[in-house]
Amino acid sequence: MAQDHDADVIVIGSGTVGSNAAYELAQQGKSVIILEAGVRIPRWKLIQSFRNSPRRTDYNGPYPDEPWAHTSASHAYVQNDGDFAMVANFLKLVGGSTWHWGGATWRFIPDDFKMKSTYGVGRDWPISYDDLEPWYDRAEYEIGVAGNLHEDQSGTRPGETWPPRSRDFPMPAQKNSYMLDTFAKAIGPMGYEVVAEPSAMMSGSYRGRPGCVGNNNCAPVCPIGANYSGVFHADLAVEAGCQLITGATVDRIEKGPDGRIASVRYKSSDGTEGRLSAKAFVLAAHGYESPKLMIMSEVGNSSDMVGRNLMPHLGLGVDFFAAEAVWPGRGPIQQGAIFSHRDGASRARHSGIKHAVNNFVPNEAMTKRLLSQGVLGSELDRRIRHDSARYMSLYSMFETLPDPANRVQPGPLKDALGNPNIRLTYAADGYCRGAIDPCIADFTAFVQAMDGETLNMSRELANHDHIMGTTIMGNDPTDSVVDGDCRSWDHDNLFVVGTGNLPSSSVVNPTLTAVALGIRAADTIAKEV
Amino acid sequence: MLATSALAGLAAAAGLRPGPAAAGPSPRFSALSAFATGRGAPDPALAERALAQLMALDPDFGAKLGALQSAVDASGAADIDAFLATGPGAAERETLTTITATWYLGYTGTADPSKESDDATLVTYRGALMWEPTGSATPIPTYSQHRQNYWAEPPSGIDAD
Repeated sequence: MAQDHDADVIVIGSGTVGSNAAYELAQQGKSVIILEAGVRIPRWKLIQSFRNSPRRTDYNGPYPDEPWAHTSASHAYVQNDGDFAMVANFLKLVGGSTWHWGGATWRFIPDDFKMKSTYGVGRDWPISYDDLEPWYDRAEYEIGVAGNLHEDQSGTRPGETWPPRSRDFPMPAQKNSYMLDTFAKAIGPMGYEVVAEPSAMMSGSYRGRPGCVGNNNCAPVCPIGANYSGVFHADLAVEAGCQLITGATVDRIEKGPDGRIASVRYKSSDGTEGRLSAKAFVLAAHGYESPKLMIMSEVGNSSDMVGRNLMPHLGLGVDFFAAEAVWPGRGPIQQGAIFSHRDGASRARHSGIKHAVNNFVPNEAMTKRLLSQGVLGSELDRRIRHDSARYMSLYSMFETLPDPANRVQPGPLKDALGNPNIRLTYAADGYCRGAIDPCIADFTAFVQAMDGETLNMSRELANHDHIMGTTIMGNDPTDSVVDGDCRSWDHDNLFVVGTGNLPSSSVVNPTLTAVALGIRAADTIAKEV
Repeated sequence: MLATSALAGLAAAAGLRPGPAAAGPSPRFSALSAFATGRGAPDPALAERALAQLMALDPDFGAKLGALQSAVDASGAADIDAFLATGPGAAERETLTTITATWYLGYTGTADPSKESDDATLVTYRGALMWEPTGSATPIPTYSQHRQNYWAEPPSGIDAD
């Protein structure tokens, strides 16, 4: 019997969200094709690339950047024409950009879902925290998240577990590093509390992944796979029966005569082209690429909101020498967070803030600094040890608000397949800049608590590699791209998933929330195809 | 490459002095590298690679090595610290810094990931000397050689830090 479709569902993008959605669909007996613009690369080759490159702090460095599958490593590929250079690092390969991340797997808190009604700024979500909680739970158990059950992550509810949880984390939190404990003890009397960062860097073995042993190379690439990446679910999806087609860049989402999505067209670097049909489609191609493809394809944009409301996390950083040796670099590259301004009345006036402590081996930065100061001879060895033992750095993340003027669009340049580059327009607003002073006040207190010597404490905002809002969900088809199920308002068999769905940015890393929404969308699709 | 190495080996076996076209690092570069870093002579293969890269970055680097060697010889200094105490000139310090940076950072040139590309080229990763002073406390990133949660305790000897 001739099949009506090539698959029940086609998933565009094999990153964390697409792979989790594909795996969930396959688990429910659906036939799934995953189309991925990049290729599958074994971990050892990425480690080899890392160690053979002198650009060790280039998190894109070990990864492919091809003329037909550009990443942010090609600077011309991501063009900025706003007043703020808004480039988020991203990759194109099986597993996506979580190949190079810090494993931060936070939930949003309930107030993040109702910014407009609680604080009078931004937007409310079409769903509540309680609506999403069961899928947060699912996502945490799929990924394997290590965290502390009894902790207040809001900064406003001491003694409570917040956000509320239906059960404990699948794994206990990793132990804090000596440095983090030392820092926590120092800032505690000032009223600051360090909470454990829920982390995909496992505290023990989980689903075939080993526990973290502190290789301190979570980014650009964890050498042993203790740190989760989307490739685990891409592989699980294939084992569950999904067909994964690599080197396949979708350049057109095609509508049928009934207005539903009928097929997708893709091209490969070897010149081949293909067209595949399905009953439903999941667009999970990244917070820049998904809206770009929708605009290129003229789908799902009756609201003119596709690509708009781009929300990054902006923030500041500080680094300093503590008076005593604390020894950063032991353990994973990041642990812990401080939520002095995550939630509360100040959010009506300025961005919430998350502070986090870096824990990378600082030798290269210390050595460069000493050489630039003319330190040579045996003094260099002595100072590398002395300075590396005392170096501390923190970074902050500020939430940003959805503004339709901040946007991603197809750019004027073409890649090797003839597809456009990415054009970003972004301006940082007063709401975000209002967080600078309280952030600097916290940084100043942190340095003081460690009897520190400040190296850099800049007031200049920098962006983090998080992208939200560009395929925004909402209650109103005239001002949002998808509904609360991640379904396109214009095409009922098109689901757009990823961090672009988020109508608020919170101050925490958005990946877990996007995975939860992706699995939830897959459950919706599974009932319909 | 293989042929060149084989020929050099033949010359050495025959006790012949390598001619100017022979492969291998300049003895001067190796000797100055050992002097600058206060360690033994570097691995010949790494030294050959490093010198070729440094010469490519700076065609005058050979002459600068010669000038540094002359200054070291003239100073009579037995080691790098003694030489630094004699107050070497800016040019000699610069050459010393280039040599030191090569071995401590494990690459030549200037790595600048904020740019799309740069002139940095690898010499060695694990062999970079910047790891040595902290080897008892922190891993060379990629493989820690430690057990899980080792990071919860301070490194032994922290009181001396």
